[in-house]
Amino acid sequence: MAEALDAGAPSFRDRFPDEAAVVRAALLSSFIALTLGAVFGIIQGLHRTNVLRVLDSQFYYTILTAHGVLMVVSFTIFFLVGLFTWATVRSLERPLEDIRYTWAWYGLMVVGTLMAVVAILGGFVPSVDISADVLFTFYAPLQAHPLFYGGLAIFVIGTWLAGADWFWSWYNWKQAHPDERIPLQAFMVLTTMLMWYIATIGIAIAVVGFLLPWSLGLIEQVNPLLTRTLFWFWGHPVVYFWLMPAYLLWYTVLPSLAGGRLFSDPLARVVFVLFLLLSTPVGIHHQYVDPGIAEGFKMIAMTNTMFLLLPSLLTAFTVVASMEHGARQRGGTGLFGWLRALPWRDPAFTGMTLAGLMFAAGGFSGMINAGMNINYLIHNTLWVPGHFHLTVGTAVALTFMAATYWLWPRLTNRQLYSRPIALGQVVLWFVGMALMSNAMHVMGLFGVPRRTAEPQYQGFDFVASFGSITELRIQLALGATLLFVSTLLFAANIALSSWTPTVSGHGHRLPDPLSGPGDSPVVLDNLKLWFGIGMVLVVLAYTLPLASIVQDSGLFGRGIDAYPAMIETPVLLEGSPLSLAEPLASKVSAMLSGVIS
Amino acid sequence: MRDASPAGVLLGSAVLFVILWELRSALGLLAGVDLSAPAYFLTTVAIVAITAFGLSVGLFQLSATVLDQRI
Amino acid sequence: MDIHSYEKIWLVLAVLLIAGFVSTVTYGATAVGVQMIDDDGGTIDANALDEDPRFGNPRVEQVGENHYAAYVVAQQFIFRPDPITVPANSTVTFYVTSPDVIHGFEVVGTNANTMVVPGQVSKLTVTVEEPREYGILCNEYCGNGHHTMEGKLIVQPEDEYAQGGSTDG
Repeated sequence: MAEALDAGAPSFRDRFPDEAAVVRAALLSSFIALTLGAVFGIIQGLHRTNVLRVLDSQFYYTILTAHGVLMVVSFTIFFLVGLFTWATVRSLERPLEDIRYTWAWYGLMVVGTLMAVVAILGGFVPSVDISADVLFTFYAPLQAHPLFYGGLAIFVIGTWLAGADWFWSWYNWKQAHPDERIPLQAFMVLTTMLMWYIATIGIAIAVVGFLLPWSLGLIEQVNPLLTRTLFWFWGHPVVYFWLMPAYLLWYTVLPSLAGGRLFSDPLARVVFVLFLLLSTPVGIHHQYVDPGIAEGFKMIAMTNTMFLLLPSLLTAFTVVASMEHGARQRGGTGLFGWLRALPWRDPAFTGMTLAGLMFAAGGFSGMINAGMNINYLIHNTLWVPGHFHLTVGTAVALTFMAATYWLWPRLTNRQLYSRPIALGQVVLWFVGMALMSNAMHVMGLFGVPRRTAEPQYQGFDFVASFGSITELRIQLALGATLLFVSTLLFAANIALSSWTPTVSGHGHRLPDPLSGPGDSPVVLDNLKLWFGIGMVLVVLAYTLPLASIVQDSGLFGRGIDAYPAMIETPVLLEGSPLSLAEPLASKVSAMLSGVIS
Repeated sequence: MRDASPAGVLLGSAVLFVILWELRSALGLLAGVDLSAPAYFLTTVAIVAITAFGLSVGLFQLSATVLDQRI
Repeated sequence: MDIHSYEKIWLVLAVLLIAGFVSTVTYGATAVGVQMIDDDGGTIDANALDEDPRFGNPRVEQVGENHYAAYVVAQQFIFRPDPITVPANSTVTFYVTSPDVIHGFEVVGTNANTMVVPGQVSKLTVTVEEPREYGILCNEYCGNGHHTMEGKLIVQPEDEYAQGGSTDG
């Protein structure tokens, strides 16, 4: 049974053609980043498991940096800005205030991404002095080329301007609708962006205040613990920046795909307010085994983090309840029998549901990470990538891909190329990720480290308490391969959808929730209040730790030299295509150094 | 007459496979049980295949299980 | 605000679960006494490790009845001393620092795991039991040789250790 389509209703593209163009551009940027990131991902998966090594291990770290940045900065955030533009325009039912301003911030994000990607890919070309082999976390004293830090800064500024664009829309909408509650999707967009503004304070200070000037030679040294702490000030809330668009989809789109309605609008608002308040004052849980930070601060971060489980648990209830409601609307009966009445043939529905299911597992492995003293066992081991491939890698990525199957026809007025392939793709992702992340979690428990090109050591062996390390490596490589194939299926399906027949009437009115905004306290819409409380919590969580770091080891550190993370003696494998890149890259480098120096 | 759709069978098979496979890690880590990987994998695939096949051709029905209990 | 009764039950269960998690961690931190790495190790000038009496000569030395201090330097791409030798059935406090970039110090198969940050000293106290050998690896990316960075922790029988004396780097 097909999902409820208002046959003949105008699509988003019909009603807002200019806005649809921006959304498409943002989403396409996101998919290009995903596909390129996936190529790097499979190289890594086969390399570190010693299944297939096509490059010298030194290049592994260039690839790892690219994979990290492309996946969790470019792919996720370009998708967010596209989705949020769609959601704001749709829910406020008004076009953007000035489409040129919108293209401008999108353009900034593209420029920033290209700068950072050029800096990273420069690491493949040893004769060029540009590289950023510093990984997604770019911990000082490892140092990247200024293009890298500059690119990230410009990208983030683009996102700030994007937020302002949506606030602008909302402000004007409010003038026209003075007594109305903020429509739910717009509410979610605004609260997410408020959280982002708070969260990016840390990374802005780290990059613009310290790392960029340091890479340009304007300051001599930086305090590695300080910049690391400022990174994680941002580094935890950024995961909610990835997650909240997925939640927006689970709350406002998934129920209607299931044939029903959102169980409760007020609870959805409560969840987003909780994220605004609690996402940032927890960053120190990434630094449980850092020296220089007192245990008391870590304890506070721990309790805040545990409470962050609450909005996700509430989401689990509401999403499942909404799905059950939809299933019963479609005729499902029985204690569990209603599951059969759900539209499993719909790749958008099935993808989002599998993503949510996997998120439950990821949430629990996250709780282990958060369990301060148990963190000793898994810190910086392969368990950690196992965890985040379930959360950002599935809950977010798979939801985004699944949602695209639903959204793309509404943005293009074209049918999806193939629904069966789409369904196969999401199921393949689920199975591939289960295999890969299971292997990663188990290997992490046996002590195998993350971020390592060759976790095969001379002086000792890892001891597996069941099975063997070898079989776990094979399982990881197999999972990674399935994921890569799945990514290609997604990209191909979307690409081939450019030539399918145009269809009109793709409009779909998202139904109202069972319990509407009118049932929730008006105070939930008081964005200033929640932003204020969020800032207070962050000040409380971070002032003392930051002040104590600065007091103990100085604003700029003592005796810290910079370590440009560059490959000094490159060893290219015979016949590697990368050796062809040198002549071209030298010309580019000459151009760039002319501009920069 | 079968009551499980093709999509449902595909999805259910995937979920069943994942649950059974993860069980091996749970047994290994928590109970120290070391089950041979190739044997376990083949057994898992066999169980999933039989379940999928059986549901597809109507050999057995989901509704014969607890799914249809009234609340 | 109208909250469904099932949702109220769920909310209560969720809060109980969270409270449970916080209690177990607090129990671990207090009753069991698992201490986190913190600022106890103090700070240091990363460019002047050679002049520091502890790290200028990385070694293990006895500092108490059955208590040993291991002064370890983690640098691109080795640990000093290598191997780190300690006697069985003792308490060992590791002091670890770095002259260059951020490293990790992980004793494989155990929960002895710390970040090593230039300018800071990580202090980690563990109890060591029967004689055996452990691998040590760096679990934080530290440059293009990161995957070669490994060391060894050898726990010697007490009489063997007493004969051999402490190990210099």
